[in-house]
Amino acid sequence: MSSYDRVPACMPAFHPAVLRVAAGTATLLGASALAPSAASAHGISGQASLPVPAWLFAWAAAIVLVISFVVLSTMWSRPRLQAVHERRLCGWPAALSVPAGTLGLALFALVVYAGYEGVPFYTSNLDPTFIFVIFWVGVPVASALFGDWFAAFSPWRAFARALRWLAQRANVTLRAPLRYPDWLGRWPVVAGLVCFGWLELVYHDHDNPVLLASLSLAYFALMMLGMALFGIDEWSERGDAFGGYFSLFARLSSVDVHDRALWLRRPLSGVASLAEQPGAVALVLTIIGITTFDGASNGVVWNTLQPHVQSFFSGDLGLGGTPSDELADSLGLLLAIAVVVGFYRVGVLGMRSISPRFDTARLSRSFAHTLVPIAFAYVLAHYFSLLVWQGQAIGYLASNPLGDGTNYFGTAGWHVNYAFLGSTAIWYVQVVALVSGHVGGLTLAHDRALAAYRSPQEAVRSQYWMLVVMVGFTSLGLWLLSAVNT
Amino acid sequence: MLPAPAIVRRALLPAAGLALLVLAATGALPGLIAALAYLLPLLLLLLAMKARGYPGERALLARMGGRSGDRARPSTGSSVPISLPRATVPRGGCLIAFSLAVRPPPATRAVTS
Repeated sequence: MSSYDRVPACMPAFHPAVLRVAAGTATLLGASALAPSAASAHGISGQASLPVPAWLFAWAAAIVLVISFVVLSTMWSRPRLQAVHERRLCGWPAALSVPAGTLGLALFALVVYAGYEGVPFYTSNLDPTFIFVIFWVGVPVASALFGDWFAAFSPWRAFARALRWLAQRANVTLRAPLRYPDWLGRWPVVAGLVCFGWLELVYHDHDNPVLLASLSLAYFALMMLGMALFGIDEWSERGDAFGGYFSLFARLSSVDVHDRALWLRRPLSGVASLAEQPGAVALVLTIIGITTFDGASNGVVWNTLQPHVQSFFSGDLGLGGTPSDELADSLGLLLAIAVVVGFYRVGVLGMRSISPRFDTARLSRSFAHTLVPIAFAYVLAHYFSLLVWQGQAIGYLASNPLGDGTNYFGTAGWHVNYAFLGSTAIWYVQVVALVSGHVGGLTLAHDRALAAYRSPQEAVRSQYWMLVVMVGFTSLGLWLLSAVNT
Repeated sequence: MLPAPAIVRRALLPAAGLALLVLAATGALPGLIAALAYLLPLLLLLLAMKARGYPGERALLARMGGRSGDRARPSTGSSVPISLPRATVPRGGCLIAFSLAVRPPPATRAVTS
């Protein structure tokens, strides 16, 4: 008999593993509280003027989540999201993929050209703004609203399909020599996102247009190689880091395109149908972890600890200033991902303590989709200010992509209007985004629990643990945002 | 690896919490007090679950009563087996057949997958 079995039935079992992970997460949080630094602020923000202390928002958010939990438990008594409910809206001409792909390729060519030929200043060159604001933030937000439209515009996919079309015209049959291994699952996407996150948050020269152009070309070549080995559609869906990232958030959208038609589906049902592939859990946790580090790197905790870590690398190991700084931030990035993993692990181990039928790995995979709205909420909340302020720069950069004084569309004289949305309004948008995302996650978890557990008691108990996870992520998110905004 | 003694396992979380509090009180971690203010709802929730089991569970289950049997067939690729209550009592035309027939149709077995 395990120690858990001896716990009275009415008590939540604080399984030893739960305690271990909770303690580990608390320690990591504490450590991160000790340590951001020279990392630049990617979530731009000013000082919000709030009528109450910012921490009260975390309390209010927790109350909203508890109320949502009670309402879901009492009003939502059968699974509603486990089946696909969709309605065909209209036909979707396949020919549209040709102009969409051409446009994607043209934009990619412009980014590469601007990187090599434009001025080397990140505010004047198209590349930094296009890649870090429009591509990295704007496309995921648009995907969550309008579905997986990026697949049609993906330049590497369009180029590969064009090559295949040409080969078919020449009566040459191109066949992928390898089968995509099942064990690889979503791991290429995870690896790609970690690399991009490192480039954005850690690497010092990340806004160098020449570097960005070179990396874009390298990624293009990598995608071509992957598609040549495993097939265009197979690799696009499972190996393309950005395609996988955008399509994950596209599951939040109520519209979907498949079978040459536009479909309207029940909100959140697209997320519930997320396939349980290897790396799927890591993918969602990594997205949250990267955003968490971006937020933490602007906070007092990391800014206190980071110099100590950096001095260890520079003093004790004798590294130069820049490498030691990058190494310290790399550790910070891994630490942030570890904290996020720890939070989720606590919830999963808690659920594991309810029923011996499911092991932690299965529970972890089965409830991973509930983190997708949270990941999106983190991205939206953290980068919203960047999108609405720095995103405006694309207006003048479109007319003057190289920064050489051209004015193709007559908009080169535009400026960023910071009065467009105030810091207080941004704070409220961030709070609403975070709370909505977590209520969405709680809804998905409740729905999955109803379908997975045999008894209502088990389902409700499992959701206490998911409530812990959601309250934890909301509090963490608001704390990170408050470090910048308030 | 041998499991840690129960007393050590039980002391892990309080020890981690205490260590954080000491760090916060001594000012070794600037910003930790603010972090605790944000994380307090989470700590309270964990404390309530530790002290009172699943607080409010009975009330929730009472409100849920009678609704939980009505479930839809899931179609996800979830690895967690889904419980699906199937037909348990005759309904509609089958109920009429049961009532009127001299030799009623075979009863449907209650099956839960």
